[in-house]
Amino acid sequence: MANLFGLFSTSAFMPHGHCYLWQPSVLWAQVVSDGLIGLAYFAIPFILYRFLKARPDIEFRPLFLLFVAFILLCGGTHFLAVVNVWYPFYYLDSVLKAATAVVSVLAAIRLAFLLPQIIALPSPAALKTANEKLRRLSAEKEKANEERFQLALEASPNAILVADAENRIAFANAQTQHIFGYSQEELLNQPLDVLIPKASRQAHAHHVEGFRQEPQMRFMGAGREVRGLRKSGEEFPAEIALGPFRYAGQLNVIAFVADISGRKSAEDKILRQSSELARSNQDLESFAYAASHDLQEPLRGMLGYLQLLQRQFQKEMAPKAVHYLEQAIASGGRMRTLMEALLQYSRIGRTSQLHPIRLESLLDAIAADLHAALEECGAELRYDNLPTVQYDALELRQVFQNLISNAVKFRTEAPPLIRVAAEKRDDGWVFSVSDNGIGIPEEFHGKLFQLFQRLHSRAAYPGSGIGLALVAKAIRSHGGRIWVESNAAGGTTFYFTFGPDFAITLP
Amino acid sequence: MPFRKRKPSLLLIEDNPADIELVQEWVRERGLDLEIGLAGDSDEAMARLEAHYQDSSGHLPDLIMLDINLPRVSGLDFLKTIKDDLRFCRIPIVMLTSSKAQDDVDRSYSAHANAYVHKGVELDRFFRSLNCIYCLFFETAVLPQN
Repeated sequence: MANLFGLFSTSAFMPHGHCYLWQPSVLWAQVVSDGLIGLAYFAIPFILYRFLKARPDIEFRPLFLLFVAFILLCGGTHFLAVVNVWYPFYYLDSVLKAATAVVSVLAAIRLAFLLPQIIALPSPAALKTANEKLRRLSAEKEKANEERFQLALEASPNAILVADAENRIAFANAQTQHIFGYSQEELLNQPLDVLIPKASRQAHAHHVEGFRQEPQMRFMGAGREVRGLRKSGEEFPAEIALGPFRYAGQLNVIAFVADISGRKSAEDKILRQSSELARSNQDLESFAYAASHDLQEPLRGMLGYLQLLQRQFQKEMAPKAVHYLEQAIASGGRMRTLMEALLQYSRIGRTSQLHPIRLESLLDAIAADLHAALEECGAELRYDNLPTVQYDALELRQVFQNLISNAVKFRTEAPPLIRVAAEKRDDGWVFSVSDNGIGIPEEFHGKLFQLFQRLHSRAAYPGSGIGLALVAKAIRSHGGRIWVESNAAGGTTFYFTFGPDFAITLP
Repeated sequence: MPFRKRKPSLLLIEDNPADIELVQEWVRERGLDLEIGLAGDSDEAMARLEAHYQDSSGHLPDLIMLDINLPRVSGLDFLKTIKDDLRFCRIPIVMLTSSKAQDDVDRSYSAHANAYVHKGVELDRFFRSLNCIYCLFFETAVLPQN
């Protein structure tokens, strides 16, 4: 404290006024000048403070602080100079000067260090030019973006419309003209209703209201099909997607409209064709059913009378007549077999009832049925690890029974070995029935599943030519596939799949 | 077994002349004493049954043999008509048909047919079937009082 008081000690010094010889002109010039300088120096920090506060972007703030301290201290020395004229606080003055020296040297060093950075600061003019350039570039970019956006909108295969808050058309792309027939200018500011058939307007207004209540993206093909109205007055089926967006504080709606009349008419055509096909199939089946039902009667009559003739008058007939009669009856019998087969064929797929069927149980039953035939030629039927399938029991039985019977029928000298297998492949289950029989030359594979197609003489292998046709129909009528791998060298494998809707489970 | 004072009778509802002839030939060949009424369609058959019913001296047939393939009303529909009619529902009905369709078989029994017999094509087989029907319904089974 003594030192501190020492600072204010004035003893041994004489006031600075003496140096001015108390000449009022010099003295007052000094006093007033120092006072004004001090005031100005004290005012500048406040101004700097206001400046820094207003311009938070200004860098070099520590430097500014040094300047503030330096200016304040300088101000202090000038005020003290005024006081020193009358009271010689030279110790205090010395300390203040020393502090000012330190701070000003620090400020100078700091400034020297920062100089390159300060030089690098752009001048307001350069800044202005740069800003200008930037503005121009960004305007160009914006324009390019807008142009690209515009081109994209125009290139869209869909009509794109923007409706404002009052459901007036604020934008329409070029495709709108192709689809609706109105030019873009014609549509601007028109109510949306001009594009909607009268009958749908109310419903549409309702939809739009609903959309505005709950503005969410609505995608195309969400099962919502609407009708559009062309300038020509023609209506067309359309698909529409909606997206909400806010523009100038208002809810706008962007609508994407696709004209699906082409697709629709193609769909209609396919529907029409498939219903025609279904009908013609139906006709064919009822024809086959009726024909074989109704044709049975006259055939029965013919055979009945022929047999009565044979029974009652054979004794009186010449041997040749007896032979003719026998041939006639045999032919009638064959015709009956064919008609029954045809009847069976026409019934496949007409009355299907799907149940889960354990293939192994089914094959057990078939093996029991065919026991005599299998035994007779020493045939071996192998199957295990077969799944359970959902199918019509009768049809499935016909599939396996026919294939197994064929394998027995078309055997070589060797005892038949018949394998039934099921394999799960990438695209689903494939079933197979394979044998070591006589094989089927490849040129006949295409004809194999045709109705009444026979590859052998009746004498060599009896049959109606309906078995494989029946198998194929039982498979194909439910969407399955059947194919064969075989050649004249021997061995045949029939492969088949069930339709995609048939549940197949492992035992 | 009830005492029969009259000839056993059969109503054959069949529109195929060959089959009618075959049944008649079977009766001749077997030398059966069987009264055969014939009807070519369901209308004729109903008219015959009504006539029998109203004639106090007459009697209803002991057995009906019914074909499925009949003109206009099918044998299956006629079967239902008869079985729904309290006057005639007790008459045993054998479906005698060339149809092997399981559907026809099932529907016949559902409509209370008493038997379903396939005619067969071999004459011998057909006659055997007729013999069996005769044996069951005229010689073995106890029939209702009609």
